[in-house]
Amino acid sequence: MWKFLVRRILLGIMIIIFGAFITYAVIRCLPASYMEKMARQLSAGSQGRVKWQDMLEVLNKQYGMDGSILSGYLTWLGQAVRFNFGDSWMYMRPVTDVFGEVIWWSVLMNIITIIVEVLVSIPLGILAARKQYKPTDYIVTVFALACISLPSFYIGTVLKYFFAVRNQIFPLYGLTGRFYNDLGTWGKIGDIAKHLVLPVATLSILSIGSLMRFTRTNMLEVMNADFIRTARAKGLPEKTVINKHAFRNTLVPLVTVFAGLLPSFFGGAMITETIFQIPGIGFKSFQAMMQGDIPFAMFYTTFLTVLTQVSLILSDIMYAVVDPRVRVN
Amino acid sequence: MNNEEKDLNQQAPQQKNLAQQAKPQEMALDDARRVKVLSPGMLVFKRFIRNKLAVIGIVILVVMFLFSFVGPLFSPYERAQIFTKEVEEPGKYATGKFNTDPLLIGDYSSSMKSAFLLALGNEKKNGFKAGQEISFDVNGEPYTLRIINPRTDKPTCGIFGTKLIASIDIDGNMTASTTDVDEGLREFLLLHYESRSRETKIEYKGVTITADVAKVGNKYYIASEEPVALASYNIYTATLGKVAELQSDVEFLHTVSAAVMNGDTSVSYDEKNYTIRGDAVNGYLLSGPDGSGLFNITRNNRFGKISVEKTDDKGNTVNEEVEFVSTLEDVDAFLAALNEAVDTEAGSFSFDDKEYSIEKTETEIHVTNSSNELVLSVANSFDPVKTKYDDLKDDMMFRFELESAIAKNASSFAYGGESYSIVNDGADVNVLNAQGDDILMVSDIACGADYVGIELTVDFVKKLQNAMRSNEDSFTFVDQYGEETDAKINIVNGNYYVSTMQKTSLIDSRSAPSSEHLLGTEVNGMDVFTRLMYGGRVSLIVGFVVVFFEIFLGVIVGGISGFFGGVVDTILMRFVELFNAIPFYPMLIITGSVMDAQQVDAYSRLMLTMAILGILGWTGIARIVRGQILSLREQDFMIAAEATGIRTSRRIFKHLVPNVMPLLIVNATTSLGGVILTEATLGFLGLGVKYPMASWGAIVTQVNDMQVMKTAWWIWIPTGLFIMTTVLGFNFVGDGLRDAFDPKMKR
Repeated sequence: MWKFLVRRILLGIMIIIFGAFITYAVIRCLPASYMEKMARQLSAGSQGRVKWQDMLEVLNKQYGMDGSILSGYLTWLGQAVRFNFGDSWMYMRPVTDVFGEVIWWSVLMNIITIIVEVLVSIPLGILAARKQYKPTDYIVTVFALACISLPSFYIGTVLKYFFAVRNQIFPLYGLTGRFYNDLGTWGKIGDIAKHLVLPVATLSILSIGSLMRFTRTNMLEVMNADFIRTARAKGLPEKTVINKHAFRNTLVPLVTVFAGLLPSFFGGAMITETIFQIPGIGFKSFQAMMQGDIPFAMFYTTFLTVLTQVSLILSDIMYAVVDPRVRVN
Repeated sequence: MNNEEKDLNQQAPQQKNLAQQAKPQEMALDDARRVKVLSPGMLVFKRFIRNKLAVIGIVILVVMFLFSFVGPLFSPYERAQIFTKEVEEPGKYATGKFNTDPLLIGDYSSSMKSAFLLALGNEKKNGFKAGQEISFDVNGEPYTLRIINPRTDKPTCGIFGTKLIASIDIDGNMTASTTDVDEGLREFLLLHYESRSRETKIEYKGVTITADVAKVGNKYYIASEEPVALASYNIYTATLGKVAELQSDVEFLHTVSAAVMNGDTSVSYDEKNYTIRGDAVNGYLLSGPDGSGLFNITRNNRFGKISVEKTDDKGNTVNEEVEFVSTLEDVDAFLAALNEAVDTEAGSFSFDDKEYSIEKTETEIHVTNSSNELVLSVANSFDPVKTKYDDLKDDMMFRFELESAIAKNASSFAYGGESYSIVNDGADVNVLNAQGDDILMVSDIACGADYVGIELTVDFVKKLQNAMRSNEDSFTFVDQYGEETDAKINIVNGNYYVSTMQKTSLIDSRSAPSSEHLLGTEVNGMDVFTRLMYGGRVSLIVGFVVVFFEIFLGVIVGGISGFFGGVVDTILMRFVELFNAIPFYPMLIITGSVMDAQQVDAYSRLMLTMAILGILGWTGIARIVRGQILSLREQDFMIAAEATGIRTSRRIFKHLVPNVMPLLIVNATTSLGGVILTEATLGFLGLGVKYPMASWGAIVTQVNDMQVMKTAWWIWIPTGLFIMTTVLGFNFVGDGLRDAFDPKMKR
């Protein structure tokens, strides 16, 4: 098991390194004018004390843009392993500073979303499994499929249209209202909560479908297992059979699903955050990437790759934890 | 079963016989006839058909495909046809104003004007009298201001300067400041010297002037008063009556136009004969019955568009639609050829090896090329001939006479040997020449056109003046094209803004659904319904191409990896993991901005986007295929296949691949929906298909515009529903297929 873990982690690191290289190679296809624009901006910021041509040279050297793609990448990698990801061109501050500032809004939003998602989709999934091929099942299944079939921006926009434009129940966008600073502690919390309703609803609708289907399938599988038949044969009430025997066993695959949710926990929801202009990591990195902010884009993609690898390793571990048979191999 | 029934129906008599024979005969339990044997494909099909949701999904997909691929054939509109609407809205036409500043004419400097205005202002409170004189000086030189017409607050004044003409001493010696002192002056001076008469009027240089005589010491100085400038609040507009009348007479213009087009040399209208001289190249002159020139007529050539054969870089001949003028080296030569053809009344002519046909309407000539495109239209434009009266209104001395006559309420005056009569209606004054033609209009109302291209007709000026004096807020006038036009007056700060209804063509943007546009029009004035059809094409094609690409890569890599195992498997799977690790949307955004920066054209962009989607998406398929093949490889039938010693390729394609197919089909169906969603999201992020191409994502992007979201639901709500329904259809079918292929799941 330990041997496997060490190998898996080493592999993950290799993947991160090569993945970042691919991203870097693509970014280098951006025309040099982005660097030039940046150099001019920085030069203007120094009130003309530094000529932009000199600035361009410094920048090129700093980001390894003067050499080949490989040498440029190695320069970047050399800095990145020391957690030095450079200054964001768009926000004019160290990338990690911006990241540390905005990440928690994304995490907060995602935690609420996952709670809502679990509270809605697991009971619905179990309900559908219990009433298989009855109207309830069809309704739940169609609902789940419809949730999967909607583009995220469309859900967000429709919610905005009905709840923020036609009826002004919730704010249109942003995280805080106009009078946020004048509010007390509870007022502030309430203000943010009000602003988070629509984005969380969007994210929940998006994710409910798949979890519901997953629960339903697993529940159906468990319900057909021999030990359920035994439990029923024992004369246990149906409630006990479902809640104790069946449901607990569906938790096993669910645990691995949650391990896989890690990237979405920290990765931010780029499109939803952009629609509602929530200053989370998704929105900020979207803006940065659209502006050709190379340091930020490199950092964000690498961060996502790391998250994916960690979550894969975690779900491998979780498999071993919940299913003793895996541990043997 | 259906086939069986059909067969039986065709052989109805036989079937009856069979039934009769079979009935008495008891069938054994294991009789082969009792068991209906269905092929595995048929089994799957029957299970699939039984699933209601799957059938709904199939219906949705068929409808969507028909809509997208067949629909455009029936759509009356083009893919990127932009609709316009004619809007008639009030537009600025001209501005009128009661003149409140005296206008000076003559030889004056700006300092003189200031001194004059000051002097006039100082006297204003006392009121003006006719002939009243006010002295002022400019830079030390004395000037006299004489009120010619003491209208309450808008007096007309002449400004006179003094000029020393001569001096004469007691001995009778005269020194003149001008050399050409004529006898009249000498006589006058001598008379004055000898008889000391009070007579001060002399005829000097043909003009009667008043001379002042002053005695200083032993010398008499004679100074004359000379008019320097005239200050008046009046605006002088030249209106050669007949021309003005004729210019707004549409019928007359048409008659003359037609005559010119016919090459006639004379035309009669209203029982009068007019002559036309000149030619098409240099223009024509239309003279009136009395032989005076009335209009210069020039041919106004409007060139249309023409398709011209050109040779491109690769040496191919292409037809290009270009402006006619820019393609012809020698426009003059073309016009000459045209004029020659017109003169000889030929129906067509050739120029530069191309045939052009001429069609004459009453007043215009249309030239069309061989493919019947309008190349040129020729119409006549009329410019009134400049008459001597045009200069007259800028003649200071003439104005002196005219203003004096008006002040005296005289009905006529003489100037330069001609007599003029005045028609004064109390406010505006019309000046007529000896022949009775209206030549000048004098009024204190100034008006000017608001745009270049608007020529104010005399009729307009008169009607505006009437309206302004009688405080009316609308009037009807004849405009420069001879059309009756309604005008509205809006008064702001003493300015009378005249507006007319003007037709403008606007892009029919964001118009609500109507019978013409079932789902309205979008931001760029294109029909949403039609664009949805063409957008569906692109979205569905993108889905299919990407999924095909994914399966192609996935099956090859997954198949090789699963079948051979070992080192190959390890290497390939690391490769798969690497691709799997690339973040999806960030990568698409980065490549999108790279494509933006490199300015990739719409078509290549679509291709590249599909390729990127495929490259980022194939790993899932590869894993599934590998997993399936790994488990199949260990099964008994594969060991049996190996034992029979058949070729590896046969083992793969005959035994393994068919077993992977069901899984692939299910996956492909669900991924199709996924790709359509991704394409839509890319469109929303502005990284999708660009104009003039359409895709559902590109259409729905317009919702980013707050205005569209709030006011134009027909652009984005139906589009989103189309995306959702199609993806839902794919998901229903995918689910149905999964259940049909794997009945174990369908407990």
